[in-house]
Amino acid sequence: MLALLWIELNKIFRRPRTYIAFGAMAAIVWLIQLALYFDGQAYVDLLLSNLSGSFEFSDLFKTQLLNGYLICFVILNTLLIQMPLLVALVAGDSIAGEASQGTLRFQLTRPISRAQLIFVKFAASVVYVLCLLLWLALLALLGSVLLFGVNDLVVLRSTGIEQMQMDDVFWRYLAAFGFAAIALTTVAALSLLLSVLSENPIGPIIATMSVVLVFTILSEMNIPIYDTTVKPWLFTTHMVAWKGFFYVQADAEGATVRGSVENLPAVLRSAGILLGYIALFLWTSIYLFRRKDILT
Amino acid sequence: MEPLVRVSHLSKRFGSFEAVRDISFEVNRGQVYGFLGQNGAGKSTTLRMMMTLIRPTAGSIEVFGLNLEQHRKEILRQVGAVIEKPDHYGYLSAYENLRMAAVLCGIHPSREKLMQQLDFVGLADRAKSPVKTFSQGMKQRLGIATALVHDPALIILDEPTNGLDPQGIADIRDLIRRLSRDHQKTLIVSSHLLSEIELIADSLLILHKGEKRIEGKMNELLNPAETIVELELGNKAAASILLQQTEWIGSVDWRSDLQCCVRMPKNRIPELVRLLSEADIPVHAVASKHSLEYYFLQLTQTETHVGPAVD
Repeated sequence: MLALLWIELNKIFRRPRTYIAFGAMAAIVWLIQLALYFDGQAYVDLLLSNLSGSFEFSDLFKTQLLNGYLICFVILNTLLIQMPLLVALVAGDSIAGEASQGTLRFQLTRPISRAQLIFVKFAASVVYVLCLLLWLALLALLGSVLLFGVNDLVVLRSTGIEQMQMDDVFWRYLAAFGFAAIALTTVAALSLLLSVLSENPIGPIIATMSVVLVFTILSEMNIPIYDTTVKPWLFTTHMVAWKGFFYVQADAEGATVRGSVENLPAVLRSAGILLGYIALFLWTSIYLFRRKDILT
Repeated sequence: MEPLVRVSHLSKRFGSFEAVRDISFEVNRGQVYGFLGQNGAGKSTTLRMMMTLIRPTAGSIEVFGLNLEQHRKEILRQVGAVIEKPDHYGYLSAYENLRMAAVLCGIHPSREKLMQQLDFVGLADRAKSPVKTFSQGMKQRLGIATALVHDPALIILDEPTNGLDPQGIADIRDLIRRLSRDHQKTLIVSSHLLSEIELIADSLLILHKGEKRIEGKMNELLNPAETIVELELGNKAAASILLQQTEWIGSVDWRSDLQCCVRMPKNRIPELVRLLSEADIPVHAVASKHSLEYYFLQLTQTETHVGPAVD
């Protein structure tokens, strides 16, 4: 099985187009960092302007606000929405791409089962997702910390602000990246399922993005009937639950409780629902692939 | 002797279209078994079913005495195949593609062994070249190398000479002969060209529109004692009576008012010409074809079933 995984990873990482995703991410992160490096204070003023009616902020606070942890949070908010496309580019191609090239025959005429092949391709997609997130962590977290230094992290919410002490932040990023890995793996599993149904890689990539787009719109819509019936079951609703690690509990005096997460059960439930989706997509992929006639 | 491959009542339906209908055949160990038929006859569909790429609608396939559906992995460990055209990863080298094929078969041969395989198909000097730079013939030979990498007992080659130039066709033919003669492999080779199959196969199966039409050993099917004689004659009415009255003439098939085909012993052609001349029937042309060629041409040129299937 490991040898088969090695083959799949070899195929993914020997293709030049795989690195388009890594290049695109680097470009976006560096552009954000560059803009904030030269014009960060204006960005902070803009962010705080929404809260200025009820809060007064000192200049020192504003200066400290712009640090590596905040920049990383901004980047994650921007990039984690775009990353499903980058994941679909690889996972959507995994079966359909091989079918269109005729190399699926090359694999399926060997003594490996179709379920094994799906597992291996899924595992390779997971490794690719982890590599993307590691790359993002290096660029967004390490890069921002090196460029802007560290300080307390202040996260703005519609209800107010959340402040975390700087030595209480790093683990939250680790947890957020871990959660993002589950969220993006859900997209990879969906893309793999759609890839099984197609013989052209463009179809599953576009279909994955369409599903993510439609579900995200539904997740964001404020229609009461959807809030209780549809939204709780859309995987896109739960993909953004990584933000929960940056929402903290406050004590009786209103001070942040170190190491706390405001609603950990909700975050864990979201993770559980995403894992359920992964299992469902994977099982369906195997079920359909085992019955599929390979005609290309 | 237990056959290596036993296909029983195999059928495949795609919606309302029946691509393969109730095909049965057996392949013995050490044979080069030819699959002959026009494009769309059902050859590739049958071979794909034999490689588990397509699920049969009905029927069963046994290889090495084992049911293919129940013992897929065990069987495929001993089968190598190139189905339709050999597709490889163009951005990888010939050596890397071959190593990948080996790993997929669950083996990890040494570099020396893999280079020997490439040498066997004449690609050792291009081992490091990306496959996307290869000609069709080279890809075909690499396809055969990947099919042989795990030293299978049964090799299935679907249209291995398709798209090749005459030299490429000769190379593949030579390779198939060497595999059979020097390595005692059993091969199933499909083609739409009788001339190709005739040169390499010991046994033959002709498929037409998804049905088996004829099967047998080449030396029996190409019976040198019997022939089909194409005649171009001047008087159909008189000729018909004469041919019907001649007892050693097997069958007569009129293609037009001037042309007919006669199944008869080859050594009696001079006698037939003499009888026609004596009856004042003008003979404009006489051409002899062996019965299989005639049969195959009939299949490919007309819709009618012209001869008895040797089922």
